[in-house]
Amino acid sequence: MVKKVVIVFSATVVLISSCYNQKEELLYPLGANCNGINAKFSVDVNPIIQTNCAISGCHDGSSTNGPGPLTSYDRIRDAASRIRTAVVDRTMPKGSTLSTDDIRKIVCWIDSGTPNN
Amino acid sequence: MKKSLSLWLFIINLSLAGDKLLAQEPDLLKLAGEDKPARTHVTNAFKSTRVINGQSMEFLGKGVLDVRFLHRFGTINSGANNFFGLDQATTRIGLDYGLGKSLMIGIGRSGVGKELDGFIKYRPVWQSNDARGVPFSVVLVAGMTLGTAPWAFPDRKNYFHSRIGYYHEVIIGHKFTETFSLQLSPILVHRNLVPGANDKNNTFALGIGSRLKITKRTAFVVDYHPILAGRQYGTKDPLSLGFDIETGGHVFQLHVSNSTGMNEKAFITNTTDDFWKGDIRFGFNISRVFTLVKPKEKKVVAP
Repeated sequence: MVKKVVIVFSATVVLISSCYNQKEELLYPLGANCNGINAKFSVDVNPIIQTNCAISGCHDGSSTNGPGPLTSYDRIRDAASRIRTAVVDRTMPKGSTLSTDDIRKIVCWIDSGTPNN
Repeated sequence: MKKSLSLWLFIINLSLAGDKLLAQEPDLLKLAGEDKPARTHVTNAFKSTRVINGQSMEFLGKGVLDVRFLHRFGTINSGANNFFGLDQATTRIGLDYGLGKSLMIGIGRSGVGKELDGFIKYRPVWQSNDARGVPFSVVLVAGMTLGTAPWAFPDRKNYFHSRIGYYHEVIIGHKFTETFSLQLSPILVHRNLVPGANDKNNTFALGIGSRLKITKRTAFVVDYHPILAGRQYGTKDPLSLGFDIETGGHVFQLHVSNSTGMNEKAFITNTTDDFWKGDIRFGFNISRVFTLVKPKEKKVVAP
């Protein structure tokens, strides 16, 4: 009994010992990683989203998943914060992953204020 | 996290004290020359060690290996063209092992976020229905998750600990009758790195799990985790409803859920679909148990 408690307790201590409270937005401030990247909605961001996200079964016109359709500038702008989170931690797109360059373009465009350019 | 540490200490102390108190009675019985009455620990409160997504109050037997395949599909309302979500699938493959009657460990890997997870689960208090037993079970679970996807930004300073999340859970469960079991499981999920400046690293949820047995081999199960504090922006409370079907060494858990996550960190901090808007998806868990170490046979003492 005591041995088991010791095992559980030490395991817990080990688990807790490397606990951090970091926020990506503060740890890597806006724009810090976007030097030299001038991502435009029409040229860079929209093609990535139309190819990888606004597809049948995911975020096409009839979608009810998460933020719904990602088919227009307005819809993408409104969902920008969720898109940023999902592509950065690679939970989206489901079943595949964007290239680092594509993620960077999306994030830098969002961080620059989601301009319709 | 200090709070969670002290909570653990408190519970472990409680369980130790409880055991000592209980241990006194058999001695008295021995003194009186009576046989020690057998404990009637409650088993099969749930068919599996998971309610659906969350951990249940059940354990594997000592020396038993549980191979678990979990599948979650796309949303059912995505239409016939997507075969009602079945075109999309995410998986978790896991191995659980019983180290003792009340101690088990498990590891797994989910496709979403290429995430590894591991946990240790311990039962300091086991419900038993005899006169001197405790009428409920208390189970402690501590787990860790590790995302292994390539860094989104490889040229900035990335930290290994940013990949890590933890969860700590206390399950308090009671098997009311042969057909009905209920458990409450407060759970704390910690993520070392969260996306937004206003996001919280700690998320606190209350797990509610219940089973209603329909026939000897099938049961209806509910697994709900309302998030009480530290909700990740844009996420919803994970809710799953399902059926357990037991066939020999297999347990099939078929369910509908709004979550795709298959470990505690994933389904508590990353469920973006709304169950009540119909964003539900089909999923199943298949569990196959193998007895690796057979229990020693008890020696029969000749009268």
